[in-house]
Amino acid sequence: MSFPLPADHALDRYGRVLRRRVLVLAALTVAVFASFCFDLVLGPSDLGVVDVLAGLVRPESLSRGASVILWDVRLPYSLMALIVGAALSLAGAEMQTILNNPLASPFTLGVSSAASFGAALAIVVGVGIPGLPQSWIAPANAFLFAFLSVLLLQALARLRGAGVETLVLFGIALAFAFNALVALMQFLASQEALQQLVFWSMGSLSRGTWENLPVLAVIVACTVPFSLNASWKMTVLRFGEDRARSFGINVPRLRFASLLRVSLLAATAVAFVGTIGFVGLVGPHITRLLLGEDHRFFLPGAMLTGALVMSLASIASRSLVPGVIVPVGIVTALVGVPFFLALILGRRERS
Amino acid sequence: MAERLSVSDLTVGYRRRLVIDRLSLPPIGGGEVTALIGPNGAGKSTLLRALAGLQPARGSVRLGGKELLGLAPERHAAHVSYMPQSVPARVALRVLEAVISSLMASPLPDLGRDSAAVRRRAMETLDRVGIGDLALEALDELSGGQRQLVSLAMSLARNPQVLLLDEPTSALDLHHQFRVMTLLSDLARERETVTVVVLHDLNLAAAHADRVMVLAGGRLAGHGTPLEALTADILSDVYRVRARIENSASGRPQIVVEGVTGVTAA
Repeated sequence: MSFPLPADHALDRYGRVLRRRVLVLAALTVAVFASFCFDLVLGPSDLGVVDVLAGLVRPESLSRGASVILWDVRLPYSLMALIVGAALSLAGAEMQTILNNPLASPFTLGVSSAASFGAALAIVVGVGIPGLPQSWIAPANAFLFAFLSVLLLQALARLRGAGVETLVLFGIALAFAFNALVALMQFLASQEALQQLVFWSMGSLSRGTWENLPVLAVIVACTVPFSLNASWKMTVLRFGEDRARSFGINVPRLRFASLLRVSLLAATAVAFVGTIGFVGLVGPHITRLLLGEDHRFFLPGAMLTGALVMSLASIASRSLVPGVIVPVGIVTALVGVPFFLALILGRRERS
Repeated sequence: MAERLSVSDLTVGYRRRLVIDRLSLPPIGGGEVTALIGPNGAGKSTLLRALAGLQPARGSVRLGGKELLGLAPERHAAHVSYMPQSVPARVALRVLEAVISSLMASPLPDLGRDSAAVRRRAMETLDRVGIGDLALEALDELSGGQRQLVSLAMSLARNPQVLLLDEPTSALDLHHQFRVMTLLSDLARERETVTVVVLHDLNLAAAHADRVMVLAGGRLAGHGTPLEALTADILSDVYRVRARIENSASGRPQIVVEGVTGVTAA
């Protein structure tokens, strides 16, 4: 036959679409690495790119002071940005799919408010898990409450067989309740505790240390394979719960497993760095525009985008005011709000 | 030999309301199209969802000798495919990907996870439905009717033994209504599929279905060939309309509604 078969032609074009997505993922990876390097180089003490790269490979090549700055100050800070960004963005991406709501994120549904309340309990009242070192009481409490809040969401879904709309509404109610409790704690707190609490809730990457970084990294590394393994099921879930179930997917189990991953990721991230808004919301949305919703690409893409946004926010947090590290939570919100507004306005326009 | 779907003593309900109470149906044959009709709230969609394993039900739904009720979702989906009434508008996928994802959701016995075979099957299905040219289009840029055709392709691609379609033509123009119903007849004959289609348009049912089942208040109010099931008496009972049945040259009845009955003064 001399004419091209249309079916083969379409399949060829689809192959090209897939290759382009792999390229986008690769480009994102390069951008993340570049931003990470820039983040490391940036700072008051003049360490050049070459010094930094050499210092990473052979720490003894740097002077003692420079080595401390690079290894104990900048590296944990910049690494924390990447891992926290990836974790929160992945959590947001899974939540948006599982709850079928483009505005879902760990922050809109109360996870971070619960964490703040946990931290407030530790800071203001001194209530915490006994037997932990002093520096771990606030993060442990934050983790506990964030995790409990998601389990509470779960329990409601199980108990009442509630639909996703109810789940989302319950999450919003939870956010309000915990915010009110945090406000109450602030009202009751002593001057000193109040200051500590306010700083905690701003969200700062300076809390990244060689002690808590590996914890977060291990949690991300353990949850990601399960996320990717569920990617086809989540893609089909985009067509509605009935459809997914009729194709043989156990939707309640899928939702349970996913929310469990979300709670682990979000609770750990928030516990270590405090409230960092909008990465969990904006990361997935940027990714959707770049890669679409084939979750084999969407989920890893969301992690890379989240890491990139956080890394850029980390750069901004240290260059906005010379010589001062602005809490990164403030910076991400400043970047996030305009995007969020554009998103809402865009939705209104299309419907 | 085409397997038949037998429904007996089926009871389906929601938390406080029983919609279908011990319903038994005449065996639904493979290789032909069965239209399920009835007024709003008759329980058509509920029955279809129960047959699809989406709604908890008691009783028995057998395909050949195999009981389908209570099968695990994945095993149920190996036999049965369901097309819901509504199609979400805002999914950032391409048409071809939508069909591929429906094949990858749970592995099919005849296809597995071989991605080249899956893609070929998806493309063949799109061509069969007549939307091969839309394969690379974004779903959220399609019209409602086009999306409904994609949704149909998603269900057809799995090549099920039992195909359950809830108003598959509601968003389609006349041309596509005819094409889809003809395609369903052709596929039913080729693959000996048990095909149950919920329809609101009685003339569409009359023109294309091999068998018609009339559901009212969760009970079977009539069944048979279109000529047997679509009588003026049954329509008057079930729909509260005065209808005239005309026999067209094709041997299919045509329904002309002339008025309504039993209207209470508001």
